[in-house]
Amino acid sequence: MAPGLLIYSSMVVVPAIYSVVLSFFKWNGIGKITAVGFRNYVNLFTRDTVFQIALKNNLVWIVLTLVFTTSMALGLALMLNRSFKGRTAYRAIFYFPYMLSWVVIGIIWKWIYNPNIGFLDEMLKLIGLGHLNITWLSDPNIALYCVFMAALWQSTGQPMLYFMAGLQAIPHELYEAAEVDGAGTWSSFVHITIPQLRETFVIVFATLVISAMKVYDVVYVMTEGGPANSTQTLASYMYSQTFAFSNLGIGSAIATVMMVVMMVVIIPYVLFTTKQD
Amino acid sequence: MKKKVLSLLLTLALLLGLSGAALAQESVILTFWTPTWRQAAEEPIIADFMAQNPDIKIEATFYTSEDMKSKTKIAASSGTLPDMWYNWGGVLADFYAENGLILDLAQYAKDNNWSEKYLAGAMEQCTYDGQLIGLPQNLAGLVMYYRVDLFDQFGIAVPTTMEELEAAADVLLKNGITPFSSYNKHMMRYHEALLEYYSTKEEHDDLLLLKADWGKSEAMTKSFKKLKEWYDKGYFPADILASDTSTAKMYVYSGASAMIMENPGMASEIVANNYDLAQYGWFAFPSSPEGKGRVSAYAKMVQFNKNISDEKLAAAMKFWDYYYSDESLEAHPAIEQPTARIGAELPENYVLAQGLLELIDENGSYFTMDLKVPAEVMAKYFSVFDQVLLGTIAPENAGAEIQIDVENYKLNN
Repeated sequence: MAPGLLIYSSMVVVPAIYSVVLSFFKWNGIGKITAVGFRNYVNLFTRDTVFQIALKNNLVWIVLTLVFTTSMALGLALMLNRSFKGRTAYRAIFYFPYMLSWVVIGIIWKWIYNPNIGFLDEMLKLIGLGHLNITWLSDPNIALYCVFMAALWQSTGQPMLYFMAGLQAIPHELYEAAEVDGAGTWSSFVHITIPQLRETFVIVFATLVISAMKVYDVVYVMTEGGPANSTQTLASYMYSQTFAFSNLGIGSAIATVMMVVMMVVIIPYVLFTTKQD
Repeated sequence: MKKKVLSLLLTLALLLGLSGAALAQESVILTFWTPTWRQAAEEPIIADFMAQNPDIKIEATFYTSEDMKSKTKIAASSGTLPDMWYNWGGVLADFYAENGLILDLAQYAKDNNWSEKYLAGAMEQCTYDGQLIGLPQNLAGLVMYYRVDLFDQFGIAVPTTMEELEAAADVLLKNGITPFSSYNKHMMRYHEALLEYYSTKEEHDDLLLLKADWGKSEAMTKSFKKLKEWYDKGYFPADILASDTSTAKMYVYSGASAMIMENPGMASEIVANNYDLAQYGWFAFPSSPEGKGRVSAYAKMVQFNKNISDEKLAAAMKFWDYYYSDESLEAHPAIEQPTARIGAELPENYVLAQGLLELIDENGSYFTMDLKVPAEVMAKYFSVFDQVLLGTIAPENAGAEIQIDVENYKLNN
């Protein structure tokens, strides 16, 4: 136990605490380090408009992820849990995007969204809607949602696998008994499948919230946070503050905010589901 | 007898081994960090150099551009910088000088007549606060690469003034060709050229050094206005705000766009991709009301750790002399060009960049904006820039918006 604890402490706990401590200082990583109290946090929340956009975008991303990624993953898992010809091939097809790196995903979708020769605009032209001239990623009002679509395509495979594993662990007798009692498909889904998948939901929600807070690569490849910071996220802004602007204190403050947001979302949910157990 | 011979041989082997080890210990080991996109060129150079100089060992580590920037900063904070490292120049290089982490090469350069070895423009770009903060490697300037065939097809002469450039753009636009290609971050290149056009040299330099007020600069307003006008007229591709450098170049290669403001890498790329050389040419952006003006330029460099020993520095300089020697340039055609050395000839694959260094020499240069203005201010600049194009910030207010962040930067640094 002791060596494991020591390694965990030195690799995770101490750096995390150090990062929180650093958030109360002004430091460029080399020169003089100055204590500034809560000034980094106050500035972020009151003056830094880019941080505020990034925080809002991350919260939107969490909601989109929890609603759409979870629904898509569960829907696909339910579909692929049935017995039909070619089921294994379909499982592989739906899981495949997850094996691609974010950079590849970003490049593929960037081409799909290209307003001159992209798939989407060509499709619009085919159905007579070419006059819409949607610039997708260049439009700050829809750019974030366009990037999310790419992320959705990539990230559905993993939770789908979790749900499939969870579905296969549900005893079939429960469905048989429900059928005898006259329960329909929807009733079985609500009263058997969902409650039985509670633990799977905890894992899926936790991993999705964490990845939603850390989203960076796909945004960087597709929009670099633009246009006009409309797709900026906390992770990308933290990177900029720390490494591009050499503001280690502000970068650490953003990292701390990210950690707190994750805990605020995940801890109550885990506690709630544990209580229900 | 056999035993005696055996012990003699063993003793000899031991002595040879020890002397070999001693020799190995005497060799100079240089640590060097450099980007991955230079790996193909630099690995064979290093191997050849070490084969010729067995007493010098170069331990090169290759990082992606982003890693290179972050890892050198992390190493700087933990005191583990290598003996020498690549740097893009500008504020990225100034950072290490500001924090006293690099060797000032001014005296070394004076003692070794670097003024006869390196282009004055490159030396100037590697100077910060009176210090020579790196060994100049490359001098790059931004010019307009254009499609000769499209210009010929529509009877357009190479523009030499702003009026001619706009007239050419209008003809192209009328014929369904997007005049200028670029992507959001590189749109800055057009803007800074317009800023140079509307301002005096002194004002432009002072703006870049944050000595002049961006909010009170008439040239800033005029340049933003002109850019917005060009954007609204359709001079740039529709996806400009979310595009990237390869897509921007692709529009030129495919003939969808006719011009692009690029560095000399474009010239070698055209050759590397086997495009028809006759279809491409370049001209200087008319950055002054008289026509040709100063060119946006930057110098890439190698910086040296302030703690480097004299012995290591001598070995390092030997390496860089070899790196850019005629022998090496001939053996390693992948070396990045144009080099910052006086009299160095451009290789065949840079035939399209011929005359570029002479242009800089003749007209002078200004620092490429994102390499001189602090990254923090540039982040605001890019955001304001997007908003000007999108119409959410008026060009008249753009400079003042950026000045807010200039003031914040000054306050915090």
